[in-house]
Amino acid sequence: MTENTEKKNPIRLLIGKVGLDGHTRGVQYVAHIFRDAGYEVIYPGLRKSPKQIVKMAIEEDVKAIGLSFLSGAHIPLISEIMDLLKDKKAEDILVFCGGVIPDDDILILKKMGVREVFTPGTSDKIIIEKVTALFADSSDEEK
Amino acid sequence: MKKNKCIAELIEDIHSESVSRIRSAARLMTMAEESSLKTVEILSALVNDSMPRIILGITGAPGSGKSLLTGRLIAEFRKRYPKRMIGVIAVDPSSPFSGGAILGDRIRMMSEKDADNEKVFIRSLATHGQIGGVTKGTRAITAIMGALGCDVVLIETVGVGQMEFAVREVSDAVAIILAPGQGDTIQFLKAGLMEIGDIFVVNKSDRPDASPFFAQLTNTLHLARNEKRPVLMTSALIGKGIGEFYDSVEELLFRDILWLKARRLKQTDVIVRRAILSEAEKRLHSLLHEEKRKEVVSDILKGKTSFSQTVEDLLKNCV
Repeated sequence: MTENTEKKNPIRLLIGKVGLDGHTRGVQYVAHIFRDAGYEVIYPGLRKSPKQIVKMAIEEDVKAIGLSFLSGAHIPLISEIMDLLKDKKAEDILVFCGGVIPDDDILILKKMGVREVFTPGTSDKIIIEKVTALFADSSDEEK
Repeated sequence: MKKNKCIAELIEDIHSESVSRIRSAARLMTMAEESSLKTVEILSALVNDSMPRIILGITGAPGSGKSLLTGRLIAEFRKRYPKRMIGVIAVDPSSPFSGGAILGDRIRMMSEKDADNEKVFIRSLATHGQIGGVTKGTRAITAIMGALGCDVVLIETVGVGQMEFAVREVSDAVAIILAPGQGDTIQFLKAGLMEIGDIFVVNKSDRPDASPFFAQLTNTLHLARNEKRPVLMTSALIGKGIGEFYDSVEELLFRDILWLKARRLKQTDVIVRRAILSEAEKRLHSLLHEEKRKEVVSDILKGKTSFSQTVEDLLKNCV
């Protein structure tokens, strides 16, 4: 009975940037909308390496990593992150991304296992909805 | 029952050499945050693991430089003991409106050199509406860091005012970080935060008004004749005074091992008692769901039932 009345802690996400890309506006905005939607957002700052991002995601026990790109380097960087997650047996940490990403690349990213790709102009409502839906799916899988 | 097993499995993994041991530790930390009951369960499951040698609380007003200074302490520790592991718990506020949070303390803590170092484990926590500067899972998370092999754990609180001193209940010693411009003699004399400090650090010593501030603080704190709490100057920005700060922490904690043991035991006692009380509160809450509460309150206000009788009945039903 007491278990039911217990308020669940918010879902934790890592929202950040990898590589040499200093455009913070988008990533900070997205971090902000997730905060307002009740998520706990780990914001790691700029110019992190894939290795650093994966280390943080594991230590912080986040459910998902959301990455913002304006550099064009999304494919090699995300592919490295996916490999590292596999190495650390942390493939269940979901990855989504956003930014200036060409249509052809979206297919490649999705093939790598990226769950959602948000391109410029996506509304905050859609981002929250789609990411929230990801967690509904993954909790079903666990059962 | 299943949940208990889960804690045990995670702990077993932490003790193993598996690639997922860090991950298991992080997961256990998430569980520790879920409820006071879990906190106690985890603490008791880890009772045979060694706790970290030093648990230092770092607190102070927002913008005093706690995070940057914590980062400098990490680097100092890494320089002195390259083979040992250090853990950091960094607390940031939750939104009172959405319950969400932005946890951004890590940014200032990691020098590029240490950023992917396996010997540094940083965990960010949100306050989840708790006041006091730290969260209920903090002690269990410290214990998990101990089980992982952390020699030192630094607990950085949210930016605090005059009344948040829960960090004292989860650390061996508390460092109060101050910066020039934060008050005068009267502020330093006041009860509250200034009483719980074991070490006082005037940060931003690179600023011209740091020296007079330092003198004023030292004079006020040392008004009492037997008062010997150290007051130090640092500049986290340019990395000055960090070695002295670290030395004074080590010195303070190695003066009296028995005292330290007693302090930790007392702290655990408080945590267990709190967990029992919070469980009672939870049960009471579920008895007093919205409709029932309206009824109870209106009955009391209309004089239908006596308040003391209502309390008596509710508490009986809780058990």
